[in-house]
Amino acid sequence: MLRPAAVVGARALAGTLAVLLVASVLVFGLVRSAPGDPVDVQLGEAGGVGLSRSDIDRIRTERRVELGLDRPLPEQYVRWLGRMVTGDWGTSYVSGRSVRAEVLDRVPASLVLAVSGFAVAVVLAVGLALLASRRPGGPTDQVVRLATLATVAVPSFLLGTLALQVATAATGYRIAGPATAGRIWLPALVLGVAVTPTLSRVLRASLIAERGRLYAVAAQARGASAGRTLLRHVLRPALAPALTLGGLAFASLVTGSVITEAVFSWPGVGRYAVDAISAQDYPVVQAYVVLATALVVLVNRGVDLVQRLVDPRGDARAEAVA
Amino acid sequence: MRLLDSARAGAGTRLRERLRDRARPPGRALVVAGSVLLALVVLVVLVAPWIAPFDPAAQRVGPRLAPPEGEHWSGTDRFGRDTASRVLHGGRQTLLVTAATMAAVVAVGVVVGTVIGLAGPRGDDLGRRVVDTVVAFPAVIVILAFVGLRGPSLPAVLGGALLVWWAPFARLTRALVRAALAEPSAVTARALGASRLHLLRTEVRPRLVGPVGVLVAVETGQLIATVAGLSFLGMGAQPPDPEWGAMLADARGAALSSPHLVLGPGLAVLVTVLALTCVGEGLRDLLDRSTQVVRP
Repeated sequence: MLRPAAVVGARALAGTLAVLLVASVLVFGLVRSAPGDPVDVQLGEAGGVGLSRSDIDRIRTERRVELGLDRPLPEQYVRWLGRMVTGDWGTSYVSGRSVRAEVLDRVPASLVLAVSGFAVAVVLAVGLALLASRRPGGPTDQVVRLATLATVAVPSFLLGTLALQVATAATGYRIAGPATAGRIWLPALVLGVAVTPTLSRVLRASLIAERGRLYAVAAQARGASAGRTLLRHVLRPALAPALTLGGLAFASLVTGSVITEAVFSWPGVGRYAVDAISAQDYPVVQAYVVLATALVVLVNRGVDLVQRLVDPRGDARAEAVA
Repeated sequence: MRLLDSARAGAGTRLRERLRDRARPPGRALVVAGSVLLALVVLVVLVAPWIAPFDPAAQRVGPRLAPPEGEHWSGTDRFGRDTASRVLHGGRQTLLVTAATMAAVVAVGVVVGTVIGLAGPRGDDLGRRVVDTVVAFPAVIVILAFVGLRGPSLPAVLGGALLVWWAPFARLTRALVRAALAEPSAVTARALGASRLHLLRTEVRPRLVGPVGVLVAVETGQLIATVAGLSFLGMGAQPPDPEWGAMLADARGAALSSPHLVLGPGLAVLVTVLALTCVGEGLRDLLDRSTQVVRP
């Protein structure tokens, strides 16, 4: 059934909000289910030295009222959601600075790394898929497939560590320092290689499918070489199904960037989160989880929406994946 | 005109079929190679207490940072612990813990997927949406959240994994259950008055085992890699636990002078995950390409 774009858009928006709300309830549940009362944690930080039992109880009650922990859970949730949405993410236990400021400081570095990594992945994936699909089942295809398989099997932290050792020994790569152009190539390469297999596999399948279409056969019949057919005629339509992978690729970029940033001491949000977890810096952990959740949900829904507008036939995503 | 059309269509179809046939990769070879590797890993790890030359936690069983030679054929780390003994014992823990987690995750996923698959259209729609949302979510983020709120430890990592890892199994099971129930044989059996339980046993189960097995192999590999990766970041297993990822993290400082410290646990992770990936991919080729589930 075809619906006007406005209806599709409104429904998608409502759906996205619903998913975000459900996700926020889950995150809130996760945060509140953590062992230890937040007040106790803070009192523990303060030391609680030289206080009598009744003093501690009194302070605890005051703090609970102050934090709104004496309110019913639904009310706490609404307040919490309000704070998260307005960017009031609290203060870092470690640095004493506002979590929002700390996160915003690190967003550019993460963004640059993610974009460069994605660029590497796209170049590699398109190249490999073109190579592999030229002769499906041929020797090149087999080699590419084995290489992709091996890449899937190499965890990115291992790949990163090895790459770092080799680069340090061979080119004097320095891990320390700010996020500069001279440093980014290695983490971008590692991140890109980690994301490549997912992309190249789907692209190869869709290239092979497109090559069997009549227009491609016709182009060949008109005398176009195999290479020209592939590059001039088949590549563009074959890229369309790969668009649906945007959400998936984004998810693996987020995941991959946590590990890559930590391995290469890249001053981005992922490494910040890892450091915060090691230091039990709850406000930072909470902000990171909320942000990552919102981003992943939004990107996924956005990709779905674009896909539906481009191809209104419906569940093309499942087809592309199969 | 019509003749030309049909000839053209025929040519297109034939070419498409030929391309598809040739695109089918060598499943059998992958399964055999992966199984042999996997059997080797499991065997070696199972007999680890008898073949490991030293106590994995004992310090100064040899000189510090010794290169691989003589008694310590795989070298020692900065505390003088024997690398081979640690890799072997670490593998034991990794395999046991992963297997237990996977068993739980598969059980939950298959049950949830079956319930959704048997539900009416509304229940199915709702269930499918929930499962799809969980599948789309990067497992590492959820695990990091769990670890972040509970403190770094191996159980925290596995607990976080339990929260999300069931979803791909639920999605696959739901799809398989619905497909199986739509088969003519299932429709006939139902019309003849077969109970749901009977249908599940006779119609659904045989169609479930293969594809779920594929997913188990692939996801087990990914779980091992994830646990090792998070332990490498200090989120999972803590020192002196001989977990592979934790060992790699410990080796970072001395990696250039003592490459054996990286090679030992690195190769262990690599071979195990590679074996599982090969088995999964190969089985997928042999069974059907349509069972493929892509996830981050």
